Amino acid sequence: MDMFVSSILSGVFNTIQASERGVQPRNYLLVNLIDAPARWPMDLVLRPKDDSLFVPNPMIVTRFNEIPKNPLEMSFEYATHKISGINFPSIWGTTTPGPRGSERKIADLAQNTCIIRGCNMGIDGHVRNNMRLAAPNQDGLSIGGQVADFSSRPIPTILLSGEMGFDNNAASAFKSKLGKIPIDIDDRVDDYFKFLIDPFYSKNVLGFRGNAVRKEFVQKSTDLIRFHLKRAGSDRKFQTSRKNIERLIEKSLETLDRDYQILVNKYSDLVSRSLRNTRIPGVTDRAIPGFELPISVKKERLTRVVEDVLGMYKNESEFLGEKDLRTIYDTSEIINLANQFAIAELSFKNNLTNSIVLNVNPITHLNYQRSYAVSNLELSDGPNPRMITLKNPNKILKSRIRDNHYEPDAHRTGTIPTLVGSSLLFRALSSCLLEFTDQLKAAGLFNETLIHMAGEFDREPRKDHSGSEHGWTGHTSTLISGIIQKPQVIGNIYSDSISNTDFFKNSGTWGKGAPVAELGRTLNYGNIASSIASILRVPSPISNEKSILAVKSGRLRPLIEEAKNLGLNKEGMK
Amino acid sequence: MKIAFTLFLILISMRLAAFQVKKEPRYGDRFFTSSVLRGIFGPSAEKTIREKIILKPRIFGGPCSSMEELYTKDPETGLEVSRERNFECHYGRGDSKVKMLVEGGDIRKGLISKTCETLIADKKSLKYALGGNLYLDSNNKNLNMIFKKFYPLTTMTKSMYEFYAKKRKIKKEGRFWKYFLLSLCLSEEWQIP
Repeated sequence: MDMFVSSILSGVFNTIQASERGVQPRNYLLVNLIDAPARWPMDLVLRPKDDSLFVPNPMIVTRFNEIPKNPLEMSFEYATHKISGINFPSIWGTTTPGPRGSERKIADLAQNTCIIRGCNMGIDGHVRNNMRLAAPNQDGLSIGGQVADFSSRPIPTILLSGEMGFDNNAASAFKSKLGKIPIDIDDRVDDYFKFLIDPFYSKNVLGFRGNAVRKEFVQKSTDLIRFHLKRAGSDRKFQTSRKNIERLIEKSLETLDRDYQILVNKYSDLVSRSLRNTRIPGVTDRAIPGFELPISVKKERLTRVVEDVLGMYKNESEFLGEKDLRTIYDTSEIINLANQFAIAELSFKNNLTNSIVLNVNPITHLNYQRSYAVSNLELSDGPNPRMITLKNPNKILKSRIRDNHYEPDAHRTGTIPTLVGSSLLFRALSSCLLEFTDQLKAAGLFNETLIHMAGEFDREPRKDHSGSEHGWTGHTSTLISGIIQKPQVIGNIYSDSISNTDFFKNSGTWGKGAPVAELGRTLNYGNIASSIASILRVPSPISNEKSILAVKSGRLRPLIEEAKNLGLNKEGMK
Repeated sequence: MKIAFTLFLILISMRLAAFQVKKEPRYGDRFFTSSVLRGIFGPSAEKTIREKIILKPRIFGGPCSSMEELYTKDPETGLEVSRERNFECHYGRGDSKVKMLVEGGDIRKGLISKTCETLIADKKSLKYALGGNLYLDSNNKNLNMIFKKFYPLTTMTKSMYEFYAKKRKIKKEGRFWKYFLLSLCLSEEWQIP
């Protein structure tokens, strides 16, 4: 009987929820850092307070310390920049390009930022964890789907799926209860705006649009057919949204199209200035010398592996030997990032949609002048001094601008390309986000928008500088909105770990999730998804998980303790 | 008392639930939809149908089968093209994960509307749809013939004939047939298998 009554009450509850659909959800922009780039030079706060426990790892660095003559003695530091008492990674103390040649302080972004760290994703894997960013229950409803169901905007969701396309990522995880259909724009589309409005806008190809006789004929005739087939339904909703869009478009198609082109140019300029010829203090403000061959290896280094010596210069299958490593980024691009932010700004400002997934492409078009294939270097096994030399001098890789990229999934990306690559990626993103949020503020939409920046998981660094593995026991989600009115960091992490869930034991403080008092356990992604849903004013797609944030009196407030770094984790070890 | 209260809750729940029950048709996928239009508007409709329907798997539904896709060189362009359109995975593996049948929606309706208008505006497609005669007489027999292209199992009713009889005077630029075809093309029922 209890179950019976409870099911009735649940029906009543659902109806009440349905009747609440009059409330428009907040705008939701998921900035999907696909393939999980290293976040420690970006927005992962590892030592929030001066007295937070912090165990260094050679790869967890935010800037060069000093650049010595011998490139093998390069040293780094984990430096921070204090904003409202919180130690952000040092890049937050620098500037990034603003519109019309100006410079903006990245710290300005922090004022509306809440960073959730230390979330244990529970399981490894790019595909499943990237899809979970959108749909926390695999194959269940997505956050964007929930927004689309409660939204009255003409386009349920825009998926900017980038080079990954609509496959195995957060964009493809879109699922709505009401069967809403998203518009997917991938890298093959030239003009995002034209593609977006294509279903709703057509030239008057028949030459009699607006003709009263045609309108009356076609409408009545269609009604007759429907009536005859006894499937009379209503097209009113479509007619209304099409009419709304057409009104908007007919009134200002040229204006909107021109606006879009201006926005593309604006964001292209920001992205390009963020990546090329940069002078990020401590990162790219001085020449970063590569190595020259042959290299003599000190006898006390017992290694027989080239990676152990040159690991910090490794970029996928090559070692970077440029005279100045900064030059490889002089031609770099993040394909379509400008188009993506342009269409996001245009869509939110013109009420075209409430929900956008933006898959961020990697930094590509790196210009290698002097790099060496990993397989082409050898460490001689003879008497001291041992030397690293080229196996085949004719195979030096040079003068190629190609699909060389900063690989976000940095298994084989050393300390230097990780530091520079992640710093540049964040510089470009923060430049676009600062401009985007400025525009939202000017349009009075910032309080009604939530930007969520996340990748699948954090990364567990190696100690030999040569790359990092999937840190799936840690994940960082950064939230940006007008309802966040001071910098906030929540979620606990371990300062070090020797657990059986580690890839490497004792790899220091990298973001491994630790229990939170209020939950009695480590955060999981359901907590983040429920929090986002509650901010967006839609039901959680994973309703059995508690929200850790709440909006009270128009402000976002954490429901859990301030971020802490706990001591050594020995979970699962005997 | 407890029983009465339970009955009261049941009645309220049923009443509220009635508002929640929603019947939504499931529409034919991109292959079904395009094959109907291809049959009506002929080979010259191919480009429009491909652009507006076949290449929109997420909107029209109809997963491809990457396992069975066959590629061959297009003799005109020299590009690799899918030989069997029913297995088309134009946007990669993701196309194999789209739904079989989808709910309707504004975007689908918008694209159907654009497709219909473009096809009817094209003389070759229009001529094909009118059985090869752009100046087809708009008598009842021909009306029914065109109607059956969209709805082969149904016959027009008397009230429909009466309605169209009044409209036959719209002769300018063959507009009668354009209007008639557009009405049929925009009606949704032919899209529901």
